Amino acid sequence: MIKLKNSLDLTSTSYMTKVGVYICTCRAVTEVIDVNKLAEDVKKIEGVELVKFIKSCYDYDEIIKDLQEKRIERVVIAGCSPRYVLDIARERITLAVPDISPLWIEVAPIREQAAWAFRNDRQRAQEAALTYIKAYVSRVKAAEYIPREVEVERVRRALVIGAGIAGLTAAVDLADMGIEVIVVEKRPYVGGKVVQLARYFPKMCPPYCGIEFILGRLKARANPLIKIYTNAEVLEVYGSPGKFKAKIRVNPRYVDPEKCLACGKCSEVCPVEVPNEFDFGLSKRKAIYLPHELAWPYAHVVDPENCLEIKNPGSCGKCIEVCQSGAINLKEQPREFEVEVGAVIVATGWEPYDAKKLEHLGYGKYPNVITNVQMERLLAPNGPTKGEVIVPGLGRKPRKIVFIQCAGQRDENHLPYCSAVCCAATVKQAITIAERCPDTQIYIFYIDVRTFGLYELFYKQAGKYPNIFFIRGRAWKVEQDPATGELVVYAEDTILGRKVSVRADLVVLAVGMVPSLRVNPPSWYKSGVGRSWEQELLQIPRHQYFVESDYICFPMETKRTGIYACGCAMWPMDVQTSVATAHAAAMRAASVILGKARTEYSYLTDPNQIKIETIKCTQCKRCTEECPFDTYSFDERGYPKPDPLKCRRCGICVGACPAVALSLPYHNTELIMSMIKSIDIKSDKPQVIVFACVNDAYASLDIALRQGKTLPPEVELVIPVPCIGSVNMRWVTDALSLGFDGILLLGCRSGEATATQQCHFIRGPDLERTRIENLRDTLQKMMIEPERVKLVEITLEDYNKVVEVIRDFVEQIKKMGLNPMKQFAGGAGMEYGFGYTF
Amino acid sequence: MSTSPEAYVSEAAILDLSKEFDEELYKAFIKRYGIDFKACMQCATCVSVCPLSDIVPGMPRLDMLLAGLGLFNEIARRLSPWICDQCMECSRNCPRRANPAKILAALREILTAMYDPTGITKRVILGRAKK
Repeated sequence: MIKLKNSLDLTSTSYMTKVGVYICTCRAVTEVIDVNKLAEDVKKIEGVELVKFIKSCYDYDEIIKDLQEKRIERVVIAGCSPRYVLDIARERITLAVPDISPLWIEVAPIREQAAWAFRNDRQRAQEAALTYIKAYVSRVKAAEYIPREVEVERVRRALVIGAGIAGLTAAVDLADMGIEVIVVEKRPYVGGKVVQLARYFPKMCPPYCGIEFILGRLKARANPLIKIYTNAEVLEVYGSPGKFKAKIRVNPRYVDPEKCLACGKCSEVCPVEVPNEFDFGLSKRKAIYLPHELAWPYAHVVDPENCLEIKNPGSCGKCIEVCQSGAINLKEQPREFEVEVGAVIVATGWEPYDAKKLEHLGYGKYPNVITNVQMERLLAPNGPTKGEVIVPGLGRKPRKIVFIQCAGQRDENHLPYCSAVCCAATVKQAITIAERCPDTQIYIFYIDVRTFGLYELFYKQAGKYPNIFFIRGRAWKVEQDPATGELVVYAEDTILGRKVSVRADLVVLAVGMVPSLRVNPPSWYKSGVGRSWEQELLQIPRHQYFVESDYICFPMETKRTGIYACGCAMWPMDVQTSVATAHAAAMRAASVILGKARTEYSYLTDPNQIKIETIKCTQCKRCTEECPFDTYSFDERGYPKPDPLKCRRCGICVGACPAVALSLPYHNTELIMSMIKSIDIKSDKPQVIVFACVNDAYASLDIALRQGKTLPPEVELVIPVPCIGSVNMRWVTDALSLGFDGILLLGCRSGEATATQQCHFIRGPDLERTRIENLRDTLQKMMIEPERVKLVEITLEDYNKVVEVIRDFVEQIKKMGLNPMKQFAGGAGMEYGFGYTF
Repeated sequence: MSTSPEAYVSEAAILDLSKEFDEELYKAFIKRYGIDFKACMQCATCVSVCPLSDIVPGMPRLDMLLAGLGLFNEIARRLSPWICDQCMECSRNCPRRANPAKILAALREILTAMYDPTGITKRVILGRAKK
């Protein structure tokens, strides 16, 4: 055995520190390990001041006493896996002894990794227990001081972009919690798409009722906490979570909503008529108009693009003459202002897919081919026909209607996803029509009827109408019969196995939902929030332009901390889900603003803040490239400048930095290398180090060992890391040049698609794989086989597999033979400068 | 069951559902036998359990579909209403309680009416339906 000189201790002051080791004497440990002998050995470790036995890993009284009486400064608890113990130990001990850094308390997992991992080989288990205690003693000595938590300034105000039902719901929630809310809506009224619907499920409520209820709860005009800006847009969002700055422009309405009585005289005299976008072009409106019957604010608005007077002053002005209250001011100017907000909620909603792209279905060619949103307007009592179904272009009630489902959805040429609500919407419309006109035949062409959940009951109900017919087949052509003028819809009935045609006088295309962010990307989305928003969300449409999120682990959160999304900006959803996600997003935003939570989510108070040693930095910009959360900007000298509030402590930048210039207090080169270097190099036996992602692989290994599996004796150390992407290649090469024979990295499952990718930090395993690929050349130059470094994807449920994976790797290393670097007395390279240096 | 070469040639180029829809019979049918059969979602549980479905493919699922679309001329070309022995397996297993066995029996009645050259049966069925 060759004793490795620990150069770390000579250069830092940490050799002065006094470490207390507390060995847990629970049966799981004592059954395999002779703790008295272990205690004797541990006493010999450099820096260990005292060794004591504790009854369980949750027994901290003695530790606290020793710390308070200054007998020791650092604590290593040798017992269970840190996954169970570490948080509780740090929390309780730092609460009692506040001047202790939480990082000065570590847990060496001698139960899992020694007693259980080598349960059939007592000698190896004894050795492993000592190895682990040594490694964690070195680690705890290298740890720096950080406080328990840091205080962050948070602005008690939130910005909600979009005043649809989701945005308004989020606003109500935030105001309920006493947070000031600013709602910015692009249109001149609130309510979004919901007010344009005829009915919405599941209770078939009239939308006006829902909006009226929400506005009642908001007390929008009286509530001092809420400010709604209609006709406004967000130009830019910048800054850090807790203290964003938003630039807002309020476009002129040209009518003072305080004075306007909505009497409608101005609209009567207005000479301009344009298609009404509220009715999706099915009716006409004037250039000065009331958006709809129950518009909030209840006031007219001028459309500056079509108003003659605004385009050419002096040419019209009739509305000003008739207005009794003098509310109209056509010279109003836009105003811009900036506001500080603690969090942002994106509730930008959806737009129907452009049916003109579906040429084969005749939209735009025949006036009686309409979309499902237009159908919704035809059925609405405030619609162009006052709720009567009248075929546009024919002016009479339809006798035969054909609904075409998936008009663009589930189609790689249009929208590759399912829009979730169109089946239920069509069933709803069909039932409404079947009830109002029992003689109208309704044919529904579908690929699959995806009426999820309880909407299945609607589907069943629809089937029981004698005049509703379901045909399984994707309609591929809509043509006009020249003889009769009827439309003919062609499809293959896949159940009959025959081509069929249906004659109709009204064809309804169930077009899908497209996120508004795709249809009109706003300026803040393109530039404001950060470089990567545009890059990742607009240029790489991985999520079809819906806001990308880690749907389960960080729900409602976008890839930018402090910015949350809800409603159809997240994914296609119905009104009830939209409202539910709005509550969720408001909850998340409130936790950032109020800062009460002390959980995994509250990065803002986390004292683990990334640090950069500019003296080592080569300005290669790898950290800014690889950071998944846009933490980095550049300072005036061109060095990367991390924003601790955006950072999620994944450590991917620590792993990325080729110059090892970056460090997190709880995960950095000193900590990891001190652990690796504390191990004795054995000249005659292969030694393997395993890095494991703490969330998946490490937990999976814990489960496997608890179930009775054992590790091969060659496994020297299993090091938990926050993400496998945080393992720096310098650590790997240094470990190899020290004489370790194999490095196994266990990360979680990666992949491009949402379904396969599991990493919380989006692409940790992908980045690590690329780095290992790039390392091959270096290793070959060092005369080391590149196969000595391997990345394996292990998910939490792979606990039946993980030990096999490690065993296979060890077998592979054994076949390869010993690391040639071992002959240089373990770490010769290090001493002479190629490899890791402090 | 041997497949004749004709089976591979399409019968009619395109089946015009609007033209083939026999509104009079369809309404009479629903009035006489109820609307429940229209809840059929073509899951084919009935075909899986039907002991005769290896003789007549798609029995009784296709008959349910064609009756639901009012295509009685198409049903007239099928054997299934005639060979059904009313074992009721399909009705017992139907997940939507659409009662296929009852519909096959009903279709036998409708087909009799269609075949009867005198038109008396049809008149009886339609007449009863008018009550």
